[in-house]
Amino acid sequence: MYLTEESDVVRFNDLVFKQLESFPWFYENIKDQLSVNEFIIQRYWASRLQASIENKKINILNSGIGYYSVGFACDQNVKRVVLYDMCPVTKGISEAINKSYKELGFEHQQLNTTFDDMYDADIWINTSCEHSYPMKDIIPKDTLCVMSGNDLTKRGHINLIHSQEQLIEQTGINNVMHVDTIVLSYHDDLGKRDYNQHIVIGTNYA
Amino acid sequence: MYRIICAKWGTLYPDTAVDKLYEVIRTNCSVDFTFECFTKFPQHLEEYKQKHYRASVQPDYRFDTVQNGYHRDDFGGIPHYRKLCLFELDKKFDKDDTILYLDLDSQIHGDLGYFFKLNNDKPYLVWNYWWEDKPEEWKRQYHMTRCPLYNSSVMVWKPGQNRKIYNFLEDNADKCFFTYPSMDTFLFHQFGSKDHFNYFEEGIVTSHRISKNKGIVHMLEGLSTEEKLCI
Repeated sequence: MYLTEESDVVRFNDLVFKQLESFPWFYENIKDQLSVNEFIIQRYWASRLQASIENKKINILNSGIGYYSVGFACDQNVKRVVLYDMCPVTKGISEAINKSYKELGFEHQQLNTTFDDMYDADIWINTSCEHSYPMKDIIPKDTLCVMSGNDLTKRGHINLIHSQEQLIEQTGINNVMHVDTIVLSYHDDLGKRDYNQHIVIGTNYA
Repeated sequence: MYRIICAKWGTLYPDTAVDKLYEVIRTNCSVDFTFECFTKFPQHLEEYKQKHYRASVQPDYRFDTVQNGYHRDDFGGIPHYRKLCLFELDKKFDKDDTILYLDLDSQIHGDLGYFFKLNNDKPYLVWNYWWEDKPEEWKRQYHMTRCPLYNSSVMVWKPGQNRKIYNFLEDNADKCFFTYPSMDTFLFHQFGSKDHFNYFEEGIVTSHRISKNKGIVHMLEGLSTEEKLCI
């Protein structure tokens, strides 16, 4: 993903020309998932974990289509990367655009409210905690986690996270390796505004 | 026995709304029935609603607003969860009874006896046919828990048929009340793909928001009190 390969161009074409032609009404969702903000968030964990994810199994919750995250993970030779998202349309698009990564361990599962039936994994990632129930009781103990959420007022955000401390508390991470806040900008019908994207990487020891 | 029931809580509707509904039912039902308005509900679920309801003031109808940083449809707390409690409170009835639930603001324009002649192998609720062919509405907003294809304003079931829904809510109360802004979205997401429900045929239950054509029951869901008074 750092250097553009032909497969990246094919993937981009699959997304823009095939998927958006079939689901033009999904454009706003895709636009956010392709945004620079999304790239910055995904690159944050990928660059910090790149030395330690080879041959690891990764679960990514509230993943969206995984446009950046799947590429970042598979480029580091992970054993498996499973995306979980509640939206059936997202699942279809994700499976279409990430098909070239299937042989490298990519899967996409539909997530349910109770977070049942997820694979075991070495690393659990949720960079959209603002969309979901707090992760403390969802992710298994003694596991490396990347958790991120923000304080942006936006449709679909049900869990606004206002500080690093709040993020750490509601994810149960008690061995913090990295913690940061990135100020990003967003523009919709409420106007242009900055928001805080909090990120923590660490382990949730029992 | 045929049971027609409704539910009332809070102050949105006066007691006269129950009397008014009963009068309309009485003149529009060709079969013998009993009528009951449920007003007492299990208290232990209220703590989850209070814990997770993210707005300061509960809107009395559907419009977009932002409170405490959250949009209207992200307030959580399943404000109408008491209707789900009916799936437990039905244990007072005989297993062979048939229950027809109606929202208090339901308009009746045909014979309610229709609802007691259905095949009851599965419970029934309203399928929002008017959204089904608009994926730009319901599929686009699925991930934001909006625009479900289910509507619980009219339901038919046999006692016990929906007990697993109540049990699921009770077992996963913290997650469900945190996540869902509406009972209908909860039902659609959790039971929509499980072949649990039957659906009334198109045109039997209609919505005033969508069409002025009136089925046996015409729902006023989503309308303000003022709008309802004008109908």
